[in-house]
Amino acid sequence: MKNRTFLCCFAVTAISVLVSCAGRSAMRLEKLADVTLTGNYQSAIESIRKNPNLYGKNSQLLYNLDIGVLFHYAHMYDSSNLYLQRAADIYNELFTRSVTNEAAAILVNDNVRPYRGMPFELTMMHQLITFNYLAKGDVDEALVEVRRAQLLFDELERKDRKDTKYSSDGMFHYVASIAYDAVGESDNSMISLYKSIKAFQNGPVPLPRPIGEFAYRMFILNDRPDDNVQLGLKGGEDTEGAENFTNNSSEIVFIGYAGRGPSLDEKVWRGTYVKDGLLVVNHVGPNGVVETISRPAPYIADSEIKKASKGKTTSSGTTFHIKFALPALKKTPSRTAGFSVRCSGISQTFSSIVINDLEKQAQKYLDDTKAATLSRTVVRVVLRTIAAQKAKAEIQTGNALANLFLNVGTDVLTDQMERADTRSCFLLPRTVQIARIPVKPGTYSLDVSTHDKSGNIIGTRKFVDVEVKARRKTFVFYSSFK
Amino acid sequence: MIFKPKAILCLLMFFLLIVGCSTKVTRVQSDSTIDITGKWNDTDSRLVAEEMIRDCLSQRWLYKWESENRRPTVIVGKIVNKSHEHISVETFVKDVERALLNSGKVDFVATKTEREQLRDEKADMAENASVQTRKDMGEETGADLMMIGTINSIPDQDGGKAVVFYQTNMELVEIESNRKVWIGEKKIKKYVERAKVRF
Repeated sequence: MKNRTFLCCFAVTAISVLVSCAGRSAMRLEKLADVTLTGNYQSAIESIRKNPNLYGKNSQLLYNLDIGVLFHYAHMYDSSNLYLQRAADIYNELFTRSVTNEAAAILVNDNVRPYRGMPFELTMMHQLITFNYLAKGDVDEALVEVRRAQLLFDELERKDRKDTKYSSDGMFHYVASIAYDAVGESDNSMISLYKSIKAFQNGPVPLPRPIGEFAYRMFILNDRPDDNVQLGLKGGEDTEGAENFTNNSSEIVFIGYAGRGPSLDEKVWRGTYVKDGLLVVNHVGPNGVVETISRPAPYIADSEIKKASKGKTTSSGTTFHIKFALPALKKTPSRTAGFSVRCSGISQTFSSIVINDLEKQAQKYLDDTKAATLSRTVVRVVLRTIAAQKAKAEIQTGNALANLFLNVGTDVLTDQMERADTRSCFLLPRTVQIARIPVKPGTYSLDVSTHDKSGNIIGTRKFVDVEVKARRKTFVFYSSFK
Repeated sequence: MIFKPKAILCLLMFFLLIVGCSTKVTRVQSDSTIDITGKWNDTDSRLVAEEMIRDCLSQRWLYKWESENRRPTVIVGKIVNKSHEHISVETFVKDVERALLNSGKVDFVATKTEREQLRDEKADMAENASVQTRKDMGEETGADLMMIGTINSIPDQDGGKAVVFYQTNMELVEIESNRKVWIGEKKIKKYVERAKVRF
């Protein structure tokens, strides 16, 4: 009777966990992955609102982030800010960690934790809020958001004691520099430009040459030659358009979102954990290539092992065959590589430059967190393996067939419980690109062409009545997810 | 009927859970001080506005107008939010306007946006309203002074602890001469501590 009760509890827990968590990421991907392709953002938003179960209560940040992103693509900036601000508030609330959630994550998997977002996603959240204000011409509020994001960067920097992880963002500071310049705050603009170059130099997205050239000229112009020395910047002869910029000049800023951003998939690893010894696990890719992780086995306190096996301790050298899943980057192929912009009254064609690459950012995040995720996962799987073995031993009956079913059932449930946390905001673009067009105050039209890798035009879009006021920046947004 | 202690305990816990989870709303005085997140809130807005205006109206610049037996006409210009929080500047401006107007020492004119609305209305009246009730263009009261200001903040945080320093600066400028007749400032310092864990 006691055994049956235990089995029932185990099965119910496992099934409820499987139903509630495991499938959601995959379902979301299946339902929403293509919405950016069709461009029907509003119906996608409706679909999300009608199916909050696609997210669940532990992914409220993601829910609001996704809707905010879609509203931004649909050029509905107020609505976008409403959801993105909610996402930002949720992130702040999640500073306080729930003991029960963390304990559940140790028992089940990382999906039962509230989603806190990857750092580069949080930057994109602040970036899109900033863009929304800039699109509305509200530079003061855009700058409030810039200052708010700086608190996030400060917090990331504080956590990253080795100064190797993502704690600043070249794109964000570059846009902040433009926004400060729009209100005539040249000093703040130069400080943001300095931070931008530094972040590009330390981050996974390389410093675009035109931005380096532009920064060099602006530092000279603003009597900050030391910044060039510190950043190792050198001026070039053929700086495309950089000579046209002065402090607080009028310009059209084109922001392009190119290609579909990455999502997360799970990679299954199998291998052996030797207590107080070695961990060796392998992953066999779809093309048969075998990857191996071999490192000292993560330490598990004896008291934890004792608890898992209800009294029986394991000695050094005890081996466990384990299977677990870790998140892995899943790239989504896109034809869109970049944009070119022609502005009425100007003969020059402006090519966009990549200021953020979310594939590279996501890969860096996975690399940065791999060791911690691996240790946490292995400890959890080993403890659960011990518990499952104990459970199987306790529920043995006199019937061989029943024993077989119970053993297989326990193994399957244990196996299925271990799922990687693959939640991510895959609606973000693959790259964010910029083209800055210095103009005199007036009204202009823009012809935007979308290019593939070979430079072929795969799409065009015309923007009319783009009004630029004296010493102001007008932001124009366009996305191509082909 | 047999009462089982365990069942009663379970039932009690269930009810406690239900009561604990339900939404509870309590009406409070609009001038009561309630801090939840530590961010700039209605209390800060009201306190800063009231103290600023109290200081403003007690200074010497007003004597000039009082000696001429006139009330200066004031307009509230742009109050720039240079803090790290999305503060509702409009609420703050309204608090300032209310405090100024209620003092009875100054007259007030509508803001730029409000004036545009009123002009639209007058243009509409010119076509549609009767001659007796029509209001003419060009009869507006020009402001003598403009109040401008900034809200700044310096946050200093480390994990769950944060000190936030707000400084609100306001200036009263004579529109004709660009002369600053009053400068006021109000500082607020908050210490915010967030719990790292909860149940």
